[in-house]
Amino acid sequence: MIPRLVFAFVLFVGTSLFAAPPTIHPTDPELAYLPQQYRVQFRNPDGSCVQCSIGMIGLYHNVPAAEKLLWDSPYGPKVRGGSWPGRVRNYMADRNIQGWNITGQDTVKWIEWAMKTGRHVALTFKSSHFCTLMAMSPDGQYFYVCDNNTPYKVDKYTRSQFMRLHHYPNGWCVILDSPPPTPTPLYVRYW
Amino acid sequence: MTFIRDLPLFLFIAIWPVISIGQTFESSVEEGWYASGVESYLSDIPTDDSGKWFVTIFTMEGCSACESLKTSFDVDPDLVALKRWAHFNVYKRGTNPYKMQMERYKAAFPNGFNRFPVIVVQAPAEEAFGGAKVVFHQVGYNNARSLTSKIIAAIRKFMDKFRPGPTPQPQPQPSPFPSPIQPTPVIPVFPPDDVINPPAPPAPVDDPDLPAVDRPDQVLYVVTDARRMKERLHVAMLKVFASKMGDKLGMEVDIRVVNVGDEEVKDLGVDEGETPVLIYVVNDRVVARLNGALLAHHEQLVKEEIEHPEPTYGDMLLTPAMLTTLFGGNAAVGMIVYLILAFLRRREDPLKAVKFLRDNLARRKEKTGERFGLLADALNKVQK
Repeated sequence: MIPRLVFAFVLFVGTSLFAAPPTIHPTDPELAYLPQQYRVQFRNPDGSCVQCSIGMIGLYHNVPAAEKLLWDSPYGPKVRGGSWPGRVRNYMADRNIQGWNITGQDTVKWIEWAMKTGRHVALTFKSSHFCTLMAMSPDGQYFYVCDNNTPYKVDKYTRSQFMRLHHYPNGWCVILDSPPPTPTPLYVRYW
Repeated sequence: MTFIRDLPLFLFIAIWPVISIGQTFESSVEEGWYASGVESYLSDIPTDDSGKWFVTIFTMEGCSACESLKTSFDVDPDLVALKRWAHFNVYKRGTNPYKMQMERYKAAFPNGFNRFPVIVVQAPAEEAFGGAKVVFHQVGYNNARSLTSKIIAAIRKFMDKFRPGPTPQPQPQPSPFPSPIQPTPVIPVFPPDDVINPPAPPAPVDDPDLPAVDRPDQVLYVVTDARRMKERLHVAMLKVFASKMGDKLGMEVDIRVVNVGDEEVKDLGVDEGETPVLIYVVNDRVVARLNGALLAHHEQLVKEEIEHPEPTYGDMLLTPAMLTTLFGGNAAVGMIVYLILAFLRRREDPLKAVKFLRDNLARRKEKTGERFGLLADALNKVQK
């Protein structure tokens, strides 16, 4: 019995290690736009993964009403605990946060639109969890996701991994209706 | 009996696919709900707006000009149109988004911003535009009309560079100079295109307690680095130039020669490497700046351009290579003939220097536009 348990444990650990996504330390400045010191502020404290993810994109998009969701602020009392599309829709309306709350089989189209236009996305990822999608490779084959349980790192996933973990076609995502942040400028004398 | 006992289980198994489909259907009808404080509706995927320009303003708490600027972007028709046309972002000093933005701006504005509001207009991030170039940058705000016209002029100038076909050439203008003119080192010579040369940024943003500078309405600073011997020579030249400019304009311009580290000019954002600099401040706003180091090279540049003007078709026939070919490949003969012809050509046109100076100033003025228009006008008057 004991050897079987040991074998099962080793198999479990080995599988977990093999399946763990590669952690990346982004060198692309576009990826590093939400630096680690800001991401860690949104570490999931109590199962508020949806608000953590939306808060992260609120910071990125300069939408303070979304950024401050986890805490009491002039925009409203803190919002904690698990959420579902209806709850998110309600508190977005209460705080006048403008954005799209998307469920169903079209989420990937919306996600690709957001990535191409420089926006971040809060989305269902892994089991009963919400994360922040920060970037997509230009060819759409790799996705860079920050998990609010481990906000100090950004994980890279292949498209198939991403689709599976996003529970496509039953995913859910939130995109803010806000312009992408101003990109890093080049100052070149043009006149 | 067994069938009846297991009926609930069978029923559950039988209807599970229906329940699953129902759940899927229920979630699919929620696609694309747009939520906001006032409305909620089904929405299509928006159009790709990655080609938009960026208009960004930086504000701070308790700044009346900042509030005025923000209001203008809500009420002034031109600025509202500009706001809708571009990605419009407002960053308030002290917030996390502002700090993040400052980290991005390190390359272009290494010292951040100290005076507010700041308006920055950037081209789209697309490669076709060279990647989010800053095409306009202004510290302070007076009125919407002036701001709009400056932004539009800057964008037009920028787009001229990307427009296919020949760029418009400056029209010849009547000579502003009496002839003959003695070349004096007072004409601004701006760097060539594509030289990465960010405008001197204001003082560090992390130093909010900079002392308020009490300066007159109009002041012309000659900012130097006293440690450099070479600059002492430039200072003398700049002083003469500055006093001439003040006299000719008939304005009560206070001319001050200060060191680069002085408190008085800390908020003007002069880097040690760019001294000596001439900065014209009107009502606490930098109207024009001129790098004095360029003045020193002026004569040399003029000389080089006279000796090596842009080749015309006729000139091309008389290049050393062409002459060498004409003389049967004898490089020495070709070169000697070329030198003789060059000498004769130069002697033929003794007024070439005057012509060049006149055209040069006209061209510079056109290129620098309104921002340096005041300075260019002042220089014209000084020349007269």
